[in-house]
Amino acid sequence: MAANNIGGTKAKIKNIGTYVGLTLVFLLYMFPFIFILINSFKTKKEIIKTPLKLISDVGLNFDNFIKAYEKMDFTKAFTNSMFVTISSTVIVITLAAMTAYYFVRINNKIAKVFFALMVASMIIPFQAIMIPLVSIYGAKLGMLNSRVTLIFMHVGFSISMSVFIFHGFIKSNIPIALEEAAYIDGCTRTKTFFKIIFPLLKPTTATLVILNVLAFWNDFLLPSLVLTKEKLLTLPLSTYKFYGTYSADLGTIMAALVLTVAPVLVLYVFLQKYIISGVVSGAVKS
Amino acid sequence: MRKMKKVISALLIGSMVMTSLVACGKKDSGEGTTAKSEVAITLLNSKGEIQEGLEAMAERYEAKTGVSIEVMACGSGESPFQRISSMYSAGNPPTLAILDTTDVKQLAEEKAVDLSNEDWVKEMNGLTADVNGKIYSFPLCIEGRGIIYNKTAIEETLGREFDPSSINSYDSLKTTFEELRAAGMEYPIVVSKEDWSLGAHQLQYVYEVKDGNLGWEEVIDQLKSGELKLADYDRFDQFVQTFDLLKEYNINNPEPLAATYEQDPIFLAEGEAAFWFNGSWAWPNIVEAGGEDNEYGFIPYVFGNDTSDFANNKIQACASKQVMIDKEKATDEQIQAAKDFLNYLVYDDEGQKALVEDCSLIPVASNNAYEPADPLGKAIKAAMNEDKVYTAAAIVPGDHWSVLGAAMQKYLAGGSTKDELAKSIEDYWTSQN
Amino acid sequence: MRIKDKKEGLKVFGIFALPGLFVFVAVVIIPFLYGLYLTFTDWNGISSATNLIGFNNYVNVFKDAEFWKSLLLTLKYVVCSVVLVNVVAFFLAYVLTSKLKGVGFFRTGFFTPNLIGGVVLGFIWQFVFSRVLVNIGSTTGIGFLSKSFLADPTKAFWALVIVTVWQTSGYMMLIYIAGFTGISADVLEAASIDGATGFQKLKRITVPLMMPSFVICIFLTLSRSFMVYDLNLSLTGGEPYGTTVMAAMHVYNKAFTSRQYGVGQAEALILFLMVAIISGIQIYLGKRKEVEA
Repeated sequence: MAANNIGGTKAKIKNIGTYVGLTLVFLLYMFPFIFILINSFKTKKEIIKTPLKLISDVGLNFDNFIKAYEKMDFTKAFTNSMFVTISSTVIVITLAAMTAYYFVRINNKIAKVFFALMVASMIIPFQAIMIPLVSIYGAKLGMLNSRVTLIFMHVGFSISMSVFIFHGFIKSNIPIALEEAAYIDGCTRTKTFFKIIFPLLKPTTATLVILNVLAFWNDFLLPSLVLTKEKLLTLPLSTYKFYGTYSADLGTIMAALVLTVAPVLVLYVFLQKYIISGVVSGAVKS
Repeated sequence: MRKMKKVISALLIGSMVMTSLVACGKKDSGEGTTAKSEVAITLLNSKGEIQEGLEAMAERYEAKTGVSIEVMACGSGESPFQRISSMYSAGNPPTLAILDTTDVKQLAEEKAVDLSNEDWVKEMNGLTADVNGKIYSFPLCIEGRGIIYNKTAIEETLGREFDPSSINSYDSLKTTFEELRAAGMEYPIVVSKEDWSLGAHQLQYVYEVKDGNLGWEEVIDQLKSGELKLADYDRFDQFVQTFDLLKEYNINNPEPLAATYEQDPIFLAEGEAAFWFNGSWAWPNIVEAGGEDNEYGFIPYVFGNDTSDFANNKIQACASKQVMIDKEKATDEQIQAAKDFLNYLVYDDEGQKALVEDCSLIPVASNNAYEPADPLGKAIKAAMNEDKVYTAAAIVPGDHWSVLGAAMQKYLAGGSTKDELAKSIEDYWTSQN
Repeated sequence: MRIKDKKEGLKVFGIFALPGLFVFVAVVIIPFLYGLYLTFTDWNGISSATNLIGFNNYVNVFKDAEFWKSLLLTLKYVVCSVVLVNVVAFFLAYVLTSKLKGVGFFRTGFFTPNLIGGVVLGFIWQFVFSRVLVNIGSTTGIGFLSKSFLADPTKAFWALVIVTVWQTSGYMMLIYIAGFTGISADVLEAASIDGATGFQKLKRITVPLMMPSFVICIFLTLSRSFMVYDLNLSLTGGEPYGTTVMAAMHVYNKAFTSRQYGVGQAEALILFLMVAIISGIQIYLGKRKEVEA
């Protein structure tokens, strides 16, 4: 009994230590967000002079938010961002899972060559294909200034990483026996894939959804090349108006940033639960 | 089951094809509608701080003429040249583009409409940028640069009246700094560490004060050929002498490179420092720093001790941003609309007013009677009226500010000697051949 | 999947792989090849006239001393950030897969730096390094902090590494967490019963079983840090006096500031080749370890 007690206390102390450590690191990681949030209510001068002050002299001042909302044409930009992000994510996840599945199961020459190409392509600097890309799709095909083209390109650029991650997961975690049983039971390949395999990929899918959504939602360079028409702009593009050559409208930028990040943060917090449950159920099964 | 597979594969491939078709279709229909309705033109703006002003102007212009102008922003992290390159590569260049003179020079003959015969040329006082004897761009505004002073702060510190024209030599500037320091203002000047400020705005004086006119061309040619050694060039000596003085009294000491462009105007606005090396575009920064109630103006960047030297009595000011019209993709109607818009800026009362008041620019055209609202703009305009400006503006390669800006930073931080700085500059130019 | 004949093989390929590969080839491979072609021309990025000039651009790359300097700096940066990011991420994942309450909360927190990017991220950290830390330094008298990190070439370099670790470790943590949860609890329990200590378990069981996660994470950090651009631009902008210009930034400047498009494009390709070779070796070694484990 006594020994048990001592062990319990020790474990508790250790736990407390871990929590204190974690909390400190946590604060360090969260600091810029707190910084942005508190400064989004201040004037530019206050931001520069007293950046760490919690509450602005004028109290909770929503002027920055109102200005950012209006200038960015928030509703339109938000809708554009949503459309582009959701479509790109759904398409890239579906195509990547199928391609990765093909690469793992039909390990023929084509699969090997393309898998190697995809892995290699992940390290092409975007700047290296930027100009050829716009010159092909713009000058030669006349496809720019369309959200569909942007989605198409998003898919093309992110499919490699998604295939790469799905590939690793399918190879090590999805037993082939499962699908063979289903196939013998008379399921078609597509049906087997969508009914049996795809649900098993849930933890990886959730992770990839997060990573891709973030990449698409925040992307600046590619959309700035593809979309130039005012009515098509996504959120990051619309905040660019606040940067001048010699000055930046800091207060408005902070507010715009809060407005841009908030939706993703909500999604992340929501999906976070889903990831954990996905990971746990995966673990239980194995 | 087999049918199902076929359907799905057909759908997927179909969707890919559709994607491209839809994309094409959209573009076409978009162009179709614009052609049918009023003329629509686009304007690429590389001068971020006038974005709002331009948008307001464009709205008014559309209401008046029916021509819609879409103003596209080019952000600060992005080089305007990259933006215009990618737009040309993409086959949708803007009808009008606000660019730096060096960019226009590179694009002019191949991409820009020849504007030599436009009416407004005669209003520009010769401040147009010529490329092989032709004019391809409209000078948007005048910008002047020099040492900004905060008169209020100086007079409060010294307890006496301050006459800016009394600073007309290296010695007089030095005496003023010493006086201010003695009166308690330890570091009277703000030197921003930005490479564009050091590498373009300060260093380029070396070429421009050759004669305040087109002499810079000769200086640069001789530097390129290696004929001119900076050690033998008095203007370089004088420049470094003044720069050393600014360096010594710089409020960002002891770490000049830790300066931030956000903090710099606050020093000036709050009177912690009396001077800031910058240009007429800096007014919004001073306002944001809460200093709009003080009195400001420019003194020249002094060169040596000859008080009759033009460089010590005049401020550098030139047409700094140029607007060119695309001839590659723009239709004849669009080119005409763009030309009309430029005329509107010069000859229409509303356009003149918008340029000065909405965008806070100093117009180049001499027929524009609107007075700039801000003190720095006013100071430049007043100097122009009194013939107190020199308009030399060296056109240097696109990477001059960044490459030599770095060399200047190194010198500012004490990481290199005067000879090493001179060598970097000479090497830069000889490698341009 | 068993393929009966050629016809079926084609069909399966058409359904599963073709759509994805089509987009990939159209968006990445074709522009890449076109870019490769451009390195043999004198195209300036804007003109409509182009001439083939053979290997001239490549000759210029070898003459461009600044490029090799930036490449060397990039290598140093890659080594530092790959090691630190992975150590931190692995450690966080290890702690956050133990049976603690509120791990979800912490996981969310550590990942949040990935939610912002670009110019704003750089501004915030620039502010932290040049003002906040200096402020703390001068009030507490910690000499190390009282001078701005960004004004000194060595410290500015470390500022880049620190922000990289801060930004990417949460991302890699997610992948490591997925790896940790994939390890069967039975194996670890069996080891405990056999008397293995926590550290032994980590070294003998966890790390070998986590090899796939290591391969992915190291690959991702490696390629990302080789191509770092946004952060470089917004945090240091290459300053002080051009000492922190890394390869991607140099390439961009070469193409658009110095207006030597062909040379910039050729440098980008050389950068790509280097990363390809290094990552190739890394994956090969990693996979071999995986097999051994």
